[in-house]
Amino acid sequence: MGEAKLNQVVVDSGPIIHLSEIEVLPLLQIFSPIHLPDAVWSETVERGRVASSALSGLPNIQRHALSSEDVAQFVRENALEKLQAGECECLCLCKNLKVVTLLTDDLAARDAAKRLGITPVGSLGVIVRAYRDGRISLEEAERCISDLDSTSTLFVTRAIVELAIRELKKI
Amino acid sequence: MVNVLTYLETIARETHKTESEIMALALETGLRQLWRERTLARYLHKEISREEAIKAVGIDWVELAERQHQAMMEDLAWARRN
Repeated sequence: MGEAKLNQVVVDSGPIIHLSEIEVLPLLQIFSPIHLPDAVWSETVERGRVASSALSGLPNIQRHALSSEDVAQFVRENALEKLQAGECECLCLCKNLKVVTLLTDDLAARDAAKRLGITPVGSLGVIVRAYRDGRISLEEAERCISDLDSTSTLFVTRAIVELAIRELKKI
Repeated sequence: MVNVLTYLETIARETHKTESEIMALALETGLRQLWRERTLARYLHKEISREEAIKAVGIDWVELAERQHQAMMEDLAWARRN
């Protein structure tokens, strides 16, 4: 139990930053491969928010350089102008690679993903899935969810955290 | 990480207020935030209506809580699937 790999995903900056801040970035190993567009690398590693070694140390990371013209056209065609560069590249990469799951903590990116037929999953989903897969204990999962609010820079209403922990215990 | 005492000293110096004044402001700000969190929790637990929550904290906070709640439920549903 616990070693099964989920389908491939594309990852946005949010889950990388937030899971790194609560020191559980290796939980991303439940996915394989993890597709990482260069704009996300730039938003996380090059801005000093996540150590290069922590991210590139994940064995299942695949980096992708996208053509700026292709991304710009994709943004125009899908009216994504309000999203950040990393989010746009993530959605474009999902479409190019036919990946159906996007890891993101951004609410606007979640809406855009659903509009494009892509399933958005946030840091919370990664933690709960890791618990369900037996990679972390219930206590660790509770601690991680609580830390998303108290330690990470993810902005989440405290009541949501309390509800999530209550739901976690039903699994 | 900068500690809260440093926050206090820096804000007092930069705003030309006394540390007591900053402490009073901090208490008020903290209580407002706790009140907002409490109100949103009561709304999400269905203890008060949407209209009551909007009246207490404003529609922006209520809509944000609703979107976060929806995202949480989607994440939980996804994690349970497959």
